[in-house]
Amino acid sequence: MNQHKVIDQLQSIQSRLYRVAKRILVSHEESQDCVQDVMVKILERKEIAEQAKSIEAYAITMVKNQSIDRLKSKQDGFLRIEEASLEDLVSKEEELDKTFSSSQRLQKVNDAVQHLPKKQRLVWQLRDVEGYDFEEIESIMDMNASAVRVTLSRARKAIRTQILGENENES
Amino acid sequence: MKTSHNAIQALLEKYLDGQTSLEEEMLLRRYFRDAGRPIDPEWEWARDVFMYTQNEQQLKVSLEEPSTRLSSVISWMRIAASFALLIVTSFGVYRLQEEYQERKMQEAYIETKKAFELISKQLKQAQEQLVYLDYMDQTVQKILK
Repeated sequence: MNQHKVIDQLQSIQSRLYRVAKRILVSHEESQDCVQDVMVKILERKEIAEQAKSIEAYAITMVKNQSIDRLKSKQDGFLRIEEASLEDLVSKEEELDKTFSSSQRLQKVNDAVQHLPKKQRLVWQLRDVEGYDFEEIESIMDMNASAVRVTLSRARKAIRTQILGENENES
Repeated sequence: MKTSHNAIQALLEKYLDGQTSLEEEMLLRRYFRDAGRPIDPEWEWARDVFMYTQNEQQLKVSLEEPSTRLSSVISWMRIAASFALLIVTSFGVYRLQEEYQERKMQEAYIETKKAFELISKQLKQAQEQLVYLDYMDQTVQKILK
């Protein structure tokens, strides 16, 4: 496989990579940065990527790991300087999201998903948004088959509970 | 309609248990994303979820243009940081040099002072010697007389 083919393949899945990163990082800018970084890294280590069964799964795994790392270092306070501007971005984005979705209901689902623990959020994203089959999710998340199903089930149930709970509070 | 209702209910339960296949999930998606379909109020949560995932699937990003913007921000930050470093180090070097010069001057001053002291000491000694000379002169005169 040549360089161009790798680039084409990465570009065809860049939105997918971005969505997975954003599920963890929330910030648009940082998710973009993360995906960019992963794409550069894959191109630099092309040989490893070629050995991987699918570049897509390989890239998604890298994005997953890197967004978790980035989040961690952010929480550890290494990015304290950037945090102010980051919060800024997030709030701007949330405003945008609200005007675009024009629906409070979707916002509610989003809140429910963001409430999930990282692992559940990722497994849910990979299945219910990206539509990966279980084997792919197992390899990306480095989990066994039953663990994936249990995590997914917990995530789906938690989302439902959260939505129902909020509805009850309103009425 | 009744069977369909039961079928959807069963699929939803399977979905919540993480047991649905991709095909079954596709069925659920199609069912709940049909905006015109009146649904059981108990399933509203599911409609919201499947509407939300549809929205999310459409979230697209193109990294070409924005990335240069982002990296230009980073490179500006890099330039600023290197300038800051340059200023700090040059200031440090300047201070060091100043200190060095001051110390050199101090040393020179001490050396000069020492030299002067030496000279004055020598002069004093010479003066003392002169007294002897004077004395000798007087004695010579006495003898000569």
